[in-house]
Amino acid sequence: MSSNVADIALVMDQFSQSSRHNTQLESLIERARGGDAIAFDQLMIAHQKRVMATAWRMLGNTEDARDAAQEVFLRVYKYLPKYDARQDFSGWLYRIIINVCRDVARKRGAVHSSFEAEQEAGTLPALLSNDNSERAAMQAEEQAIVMKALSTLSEKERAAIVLRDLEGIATDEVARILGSSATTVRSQISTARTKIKQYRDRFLKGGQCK
Amino acid sequence: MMNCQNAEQLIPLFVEADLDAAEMQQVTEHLATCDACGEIVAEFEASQSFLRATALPEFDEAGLRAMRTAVQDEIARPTIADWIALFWHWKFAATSIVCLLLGAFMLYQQVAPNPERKQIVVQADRQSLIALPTSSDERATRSGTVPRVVASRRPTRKPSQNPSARATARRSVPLIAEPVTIQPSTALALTASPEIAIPAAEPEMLRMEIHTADPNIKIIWLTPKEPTRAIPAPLIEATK
Repeated sequence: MSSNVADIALVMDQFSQSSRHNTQLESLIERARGGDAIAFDQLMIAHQKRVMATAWRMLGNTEDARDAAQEVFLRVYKYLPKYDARQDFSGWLYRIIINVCRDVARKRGAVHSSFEAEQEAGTLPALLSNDNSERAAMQAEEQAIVMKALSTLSEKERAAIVLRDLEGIATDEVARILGSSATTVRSQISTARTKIKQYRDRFLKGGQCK
Repeated sequence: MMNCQNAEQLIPLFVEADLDAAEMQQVTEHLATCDACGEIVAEFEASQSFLRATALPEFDEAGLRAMRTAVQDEIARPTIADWIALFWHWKFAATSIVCLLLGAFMLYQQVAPNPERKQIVVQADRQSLIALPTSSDERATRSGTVPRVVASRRPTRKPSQNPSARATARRSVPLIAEPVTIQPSTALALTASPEIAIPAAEPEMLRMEIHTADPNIKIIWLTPKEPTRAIPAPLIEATK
């Protein structure tokens, strides 16, 4: 009995926090829409890491991800007056991120695995800061493998797998974001998972991948 | 019962529960009896864990702040669209003012009196006399001047398909009255004949009236006093 009450209290608390978060977000959006620069800055702060992470997973390097994030927020500002408050803001934001990343990728050519490029550019401070520590080296290696694996996917497969498996969005919502049918997205996700598994298998067996 | 080939196609979606309930049930039942497919599922699960375990690079706060500042600067900077909007705003205002002034000028031209030249449009038909004088013209007649009537067609328009409209258009003759001096004693009848130009009566002319059996028809003959000059065609005045 007491555990049931505790569960209900926990759910109510989570619901309350979620509701409060939504209210704050709506308030920020409304103020930003009215031209409040501070509110828009707070909106950017609230979403910048998610935008950067998704862009990095889509594009494969920090420099392009930062350019993409900048363009994403510019588009958010531009289209915020047209944003319908009834629709999910995250879904709307992901749609912009995916579109911007497509534009950036097309502008800069094919997306390639860029661990070496990042290493050369010194943009992996957190991974390499602990002087040749075994854990950091392993993390960096895993990161490189995954980015190379993602680079073997087509643009649509990559978007689908990033949203579904790395951002944890439900398949139907991914389909809405990408403007495709759920069946098409499931097919893309299935193909992408198979390709990533094959890449990992080849890497683990031979240590060399194309 | 599902075979291995079908199961292998569904396993990539099965590992993250992206199948519908019926398919999930079928794959689960197959896995209970097939170790080979169970191994494939384990490999996919490891691959998924590997994919998810990948750490993101740390995005330093300075870089993020620089990105936000760049966005704010870009937003604050007037864009080409802003300049175009401003231009259109002023262009629209200027165009509106010009149109208003033009409209006011045209209205003034319509309503302002013009004593020098007056255009009178008369709807003439066969049975009515052309009656022109206004109060100012009557004063002119008393003082020795009367309007000289010059008949002319309106500027050409596309002919109407409607016969009655064409007939009306044929009868509608704008007449321009211009003062000309004649002797006050000379009587002049202006008859309804919109197709011809009525010459100004010469001061030295004879007038003959021939009454017919029909009291509504009389023939007026205007001829110069000198017999050598050409005799103009008779004008028939129809009165009812």
